[in-house]
Amino acid sequence: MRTRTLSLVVAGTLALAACAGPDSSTADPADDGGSYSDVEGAQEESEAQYRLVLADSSDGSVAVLDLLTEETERIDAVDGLQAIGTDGRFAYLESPSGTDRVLDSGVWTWDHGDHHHYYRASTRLVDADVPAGAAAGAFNQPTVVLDDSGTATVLDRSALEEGEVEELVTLQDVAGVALAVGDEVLAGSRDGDRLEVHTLDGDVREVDVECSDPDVAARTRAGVVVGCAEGAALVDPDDWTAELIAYPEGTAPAERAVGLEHRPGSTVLAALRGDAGAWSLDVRSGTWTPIDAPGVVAVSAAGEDLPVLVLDADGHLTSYDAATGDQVAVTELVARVDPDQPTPVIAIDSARAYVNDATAGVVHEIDYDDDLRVARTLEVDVTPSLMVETGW
Amino acid sequence: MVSRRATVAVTAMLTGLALLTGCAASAEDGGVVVTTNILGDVVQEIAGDEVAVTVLMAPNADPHSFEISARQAATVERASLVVSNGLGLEEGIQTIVDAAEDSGVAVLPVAERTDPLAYGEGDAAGERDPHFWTDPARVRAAVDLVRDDIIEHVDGVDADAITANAAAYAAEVDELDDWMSAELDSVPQQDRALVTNHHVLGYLADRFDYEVVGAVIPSGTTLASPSASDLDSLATAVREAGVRTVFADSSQPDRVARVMAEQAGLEVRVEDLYSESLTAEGEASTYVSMMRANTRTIVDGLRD
Repeated sequence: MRTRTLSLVVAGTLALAACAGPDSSTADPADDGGSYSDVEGAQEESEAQYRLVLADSSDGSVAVLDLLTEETERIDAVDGLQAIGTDGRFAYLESPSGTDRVLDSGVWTWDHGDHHHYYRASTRLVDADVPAGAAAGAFNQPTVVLDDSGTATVLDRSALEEGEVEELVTLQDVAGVALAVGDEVLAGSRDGDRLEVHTLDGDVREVDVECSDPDVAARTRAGVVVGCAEGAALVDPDDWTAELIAYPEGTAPAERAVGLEHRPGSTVLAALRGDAGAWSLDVRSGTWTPIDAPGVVAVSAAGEDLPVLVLDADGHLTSYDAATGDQVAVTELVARVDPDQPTPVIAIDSARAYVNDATAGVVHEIDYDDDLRVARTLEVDVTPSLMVETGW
Repeated sequence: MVSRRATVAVTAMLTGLALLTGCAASAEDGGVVVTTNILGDVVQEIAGDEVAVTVLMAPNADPHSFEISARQAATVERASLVVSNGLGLEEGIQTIVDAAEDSGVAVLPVAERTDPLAYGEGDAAGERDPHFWTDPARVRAAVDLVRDDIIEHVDGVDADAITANAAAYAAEVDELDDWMSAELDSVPQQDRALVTNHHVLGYLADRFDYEVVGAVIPSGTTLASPSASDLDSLATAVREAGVRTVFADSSQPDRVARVMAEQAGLEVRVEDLYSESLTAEGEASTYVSMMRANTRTIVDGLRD
């Protein structure tokens, strides 16, 4: 495998020694502008480097499964681990009763529009914990951790990349959702009646869109999508203008979308729709499409012109046409969906989907563009009741 | 994108030596700072021993993501001239280049000044393509731009010496251009298709009348258990272009070739090209040698 090391910090230091004269011995390594990835020997790769971060919520054990090498690495167990979030590189191991640990999964993608750059490094736990809460982040954007009391802690992303935790600011009186774009944070208001934009300096202004009780947000290439009681707010992070994609007329409150899941970045999303099934949301066309799928426990969407995947309580994985809601393919995937375990996850990347199967102790790799063919059944050495995919 | 046969272990040491050579020629302040190592080679040829040249991007590095230390950033501020690629290539240090320009340092963004082309397709369609160096005629034009800016902005420089250096290097680039033209013209017109996932070949294709056929190269997790749809993009491109060689940046080129043969019935060779970075040593350690190596790979892959 051809790889190369981003050894700029070392190179820069030698250059200083060569050029700077007698005082070069005072060069402070901490002065280097290179990122943690340079120090740790991140390598650029020619293709996406996907890993799964898997955990057992019953004992906090954590493992990282590399989807290219099929090697598993055990990570220190995390007390009280109940959920995992990710921004494509970092996995936020959430312990509501304590603090969140941050795991650098060592794989990530830099999207340049016309092409991508893919990086691979060692996994490592960030030195300090962050406040307990739900974390939202993205490449080159600050991470925001939102707790139940309405406090959002904004963390410097480049510090995380160097293995450190650096709080930029804490925001009060936010609820439901909080995510950062540049030096501004989009968040739900405390009383749940609107979306607001906070600057890191403390200024707050309202986003001009009808959105009460916002409870979930997703970043897409078409903008930030926020789930609200009225539908989905599509927010343009360049100027914070927004439009509401309202639910179809006659949608009952019990059918409100729960969760907004998708292949990272893609503009088709999927959500649970009460007991009745699922929603497909195409944000470019502004269309909600209901999918009839009783007993659904997990959903996600593969993207434009690709299916929505649904896992039901009987363990069937079914794909649906995202635009029509028509069934495309079905497979009996999971022998038993244990109601006492956390809900399984459907993680989708540019080539495959992954479904964690805690009872069987495996992860199913699905070729979603080939009639839900099971491409691989991946053995893992923790009970995979929690899962996120990184490398995007 | 990765350049092939990258040599990892010696990168840091050689970078230090390269900069040492640059520094030894003159004082550290007031020299020329170059962002990318491809332009660094060009500028070094023109500067010769007359001006100190500092190249910020190490061999085998990635022009999009490389970053520099605070000390190196300070050398940018103290430069007489900063030569950059521009058009968004050096994202990791663009703010530093912009800051230097704002504080009065002359900046030469070469790609913007050598008749940039627009991307033809993809998410970036319509945006200007920064990879000008795959056309040697544009590099030839860049030689004059660099020569003139060094003479204008570097105090006390020997203009005659710079002019002579530039003329000598221009002749070398002209010779490269002539040779590439002859080599690439030797491929029959109907075979001039570059089936590739490289995104840097637009200028070369435009200049030498080739077609870039973009293809998704099956990779990573798909190679573990491929289906027909995983191979469809590449298989279709290969069939329609009628080529036996694809120019792909792949971590598993042999496996791609084997899967294509077994699953799609297509015998293809998978050859990589140098793209966005010079290497520390070997056939891609200079701009001219990199272009010769790529030209040989293309012609050998497409010619009967």
